[in-house]
Amino acid sequence: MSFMKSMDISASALTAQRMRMDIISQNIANANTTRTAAGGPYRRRVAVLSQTDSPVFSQYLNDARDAVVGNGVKVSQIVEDNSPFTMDYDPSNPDADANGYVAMPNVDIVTEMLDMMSATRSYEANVTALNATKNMAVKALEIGR
Amino acid sequence: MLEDIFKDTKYLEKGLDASWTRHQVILNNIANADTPGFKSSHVEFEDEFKAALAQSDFEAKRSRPGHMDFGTPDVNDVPINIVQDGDTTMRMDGNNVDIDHEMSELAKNNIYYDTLVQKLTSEYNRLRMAITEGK
Repeated sequence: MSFMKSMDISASALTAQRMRMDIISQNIANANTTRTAAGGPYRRRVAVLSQTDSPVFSQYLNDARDAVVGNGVKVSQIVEDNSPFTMDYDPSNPDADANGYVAMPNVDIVTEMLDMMSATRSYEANVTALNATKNMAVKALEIGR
Repeated sequence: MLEDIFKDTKYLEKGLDASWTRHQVILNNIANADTPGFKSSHVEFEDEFKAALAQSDFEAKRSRPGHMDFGTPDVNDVPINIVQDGDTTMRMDGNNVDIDHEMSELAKNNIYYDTLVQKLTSEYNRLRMAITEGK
């Protein structure tokens, strides 16, 4: 029940949303990359969020109430989006195939912008929650003053 | 008689415990507002607390500590229950966190906590005034 742990929950969310923003920025930056090191166009990446469990055994011995409260969120993996590439007709492009089509990355700018707004709002909500935690902890110190 | 000085403040302290647990549960809900398949939780406390306070009139006298205790439930035994809302879904990925509801609960709980702290402080000040005879 310590207030340090409350701040860890909010901090984990801030970290996860920031990593999500990094991945979105990478997608937007590579929206036109037709040639990668592995060959072929850039494939969109997606962050998978999952709830953080209590991995340490000593946490199971702790107060059962704490174990049920939860530990925040983390980015458990970064997966590649397997949707098909869009084909653009551009015979003058050096990466065009025999028919003159170029495979462009499967990044949709509109989707990325929406994800970016969602990540920003989540980040702001968690900052507000962190400030509320800090206010409560400071208020608790005023008991009996 | 001295151990009864803080008899009334333990109700306020129990309310503070429940408010802090509720705060942590709300934090976890807000942190997982984007996690697929996550179901939000909430804390149920007020109803049990009210029931426990309503029973305060009847008390069993025990002449020895080994006797069974019945009647007044100790305020420390009132459970603070964390209940998961497993049935509802707000979005296609199974997440059911309503961020507006969670933010308003956060603000309400903050005010509730501040109120309890102020009440507790005034109780202690009252005791202090009685001990120092108003000087």
